[in-house]
Amino acid sequence: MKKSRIMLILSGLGLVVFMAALIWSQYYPDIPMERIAAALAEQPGIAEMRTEDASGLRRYYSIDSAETEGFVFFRSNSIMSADELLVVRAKDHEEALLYLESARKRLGEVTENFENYGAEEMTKIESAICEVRGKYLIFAVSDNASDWERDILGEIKK
Amino acid sequence: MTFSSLIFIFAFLPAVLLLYGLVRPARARTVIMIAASLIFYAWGNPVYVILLVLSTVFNYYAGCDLAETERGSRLQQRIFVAAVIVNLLILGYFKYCGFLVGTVNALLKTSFSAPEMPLPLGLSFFTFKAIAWIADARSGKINPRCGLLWFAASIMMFPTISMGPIDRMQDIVPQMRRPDFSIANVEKGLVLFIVGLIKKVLLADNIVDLYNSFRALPVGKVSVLMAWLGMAAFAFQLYFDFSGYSDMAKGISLMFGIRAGDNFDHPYTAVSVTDFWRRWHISLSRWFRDYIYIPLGGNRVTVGRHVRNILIVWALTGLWHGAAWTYVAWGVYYGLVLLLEKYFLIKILEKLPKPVRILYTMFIVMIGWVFFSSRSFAEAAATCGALFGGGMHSFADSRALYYLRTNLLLLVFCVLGSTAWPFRFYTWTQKKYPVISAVGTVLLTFLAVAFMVYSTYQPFLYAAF
Repeated sequence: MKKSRIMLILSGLGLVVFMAALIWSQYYPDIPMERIAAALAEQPGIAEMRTEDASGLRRYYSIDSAETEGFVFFRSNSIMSADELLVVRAKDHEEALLYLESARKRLGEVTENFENYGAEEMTKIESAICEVRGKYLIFAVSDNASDWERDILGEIKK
Repeated sequence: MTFSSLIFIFAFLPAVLLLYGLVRPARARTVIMIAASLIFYAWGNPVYVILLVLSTVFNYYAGCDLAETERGSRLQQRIFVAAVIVNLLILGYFKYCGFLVGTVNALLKTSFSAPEMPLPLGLSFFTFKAIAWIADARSGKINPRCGLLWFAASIMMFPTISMGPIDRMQDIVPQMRRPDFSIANVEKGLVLFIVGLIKKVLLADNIVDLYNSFRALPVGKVSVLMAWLGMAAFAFQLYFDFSGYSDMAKGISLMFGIRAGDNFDHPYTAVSVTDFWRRWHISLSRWFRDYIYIPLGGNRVTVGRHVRNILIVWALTGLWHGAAWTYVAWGVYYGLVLLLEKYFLIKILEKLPKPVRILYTMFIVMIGWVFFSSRSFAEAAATCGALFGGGMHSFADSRALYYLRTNLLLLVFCVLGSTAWPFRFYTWTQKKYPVISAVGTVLLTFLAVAFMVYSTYQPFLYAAF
């Protein structure tokens, strides 16, 4: 076989593998929120936080829990700490993007609360995680935010 | 990293230019160009560098294989079709998946979801360059066995990777082998770059505020004057943003001794819509003409087929610009206008005075921009209504007069900047009063940089395509 054809086939296969890997990396299967909650219960920092219910979700994010397919929401017990974790499973990706807007507003409020008052808290806020993965909104402000995100995504992709 | 960012102007470009100038052999310069282009590309999303490299290798060897296969044979046809499909599938996945899924959901009342992926930088542009390459290799117009290094540098080169122009690789590869790198070209390239920077930073990024103010208003409360001011602002923003980028791309390429193609020729001075499309995004129009319109038969067919060919080309042109039905409608709108001109209006237009013809053209173009800028048909209809007094709002309210007063000077500069006069004036002063010309250029550059430092970030619009 000619060299050009071999290279064409190899690079074509490379493209196929690359695209498959990319598509797989963006695929987030539906899993029950209880599994995410159970995985998070074992995470550092969570046990010390307060579990918020639907009224907390509405109060802080203006999200109606009845419109979602489940959520877990933790906030710090102390008003001196910005630590917070919210995971929401939306009905679809578009809905999750709407929740992302609410999360960004919340991030703005938290920033306002701690700006000029808590340098340590501001460090956490500046590296906050506020993203949508598939149908899931993940909002995390904490020194452990990256670990939480990794474990949440790991649980979803299991 | 965009051309109008401080890090590009004061760090990346000077460093690459210096390195490029320090080495002599064209091969070494090409390696530097490839490395710089990969760094430029990776700045946005490093993962997509893999896509760029694989796509480049794939398309280069597709061209070679096509040239080595018997012309006109079934095998050559299959290789060509497969290579084009691979390119279009990649483009389709990143750019049109959401659009297709949304359309299916709307029609069939389903709720499929589409993956949301950031669009790789310049995907539409380099896909079209690649398809042109393999199409020309198949037809025997070019000998694609130029060497992967030269091809890679030509298709990836950072001045033109993100927003074109969609140059033919057979025009760029020979220049990459023997770049006309000289102090004179660096100077000329720098002037062109500064012109583009002024267009983008001083004109596009300032007139956009007027357009944003217009869009922030509820459409039912917009006076006719405000609607026209808003759409004029959009028209100027789009033109100066894209032509500014194109000038910068051409200027940077020239600094490296490469002559990139023209993409704009003062389109807002066009005397007909046909003329407008010979002046706006020239490289894209040529691509559609050479690779879609002519293969379909062009105008050497029956009237019915010609109408069909025009509408197909323009629907695709609209779709290339964006994954939404409003863009398709925008394209079809131009297809219909062009047909009207060709079969009915052109003889009438030729008898009219030039200013009238320009006004006619700008009227048609502005209506077109309504579809281009609207997120939905409802928004487009409402905006068209506002332009013609729909909703019975006033012709000119105090808000419109305020915006007109505060933006009048900028609008005048935009109108002048759309013509060839500023560059003619610059060329004249350069010959007659070179010192004044140089001082003026430095001052404008300083002003542009000052705006860059203090303004909020304004991305290039066409980078979204």
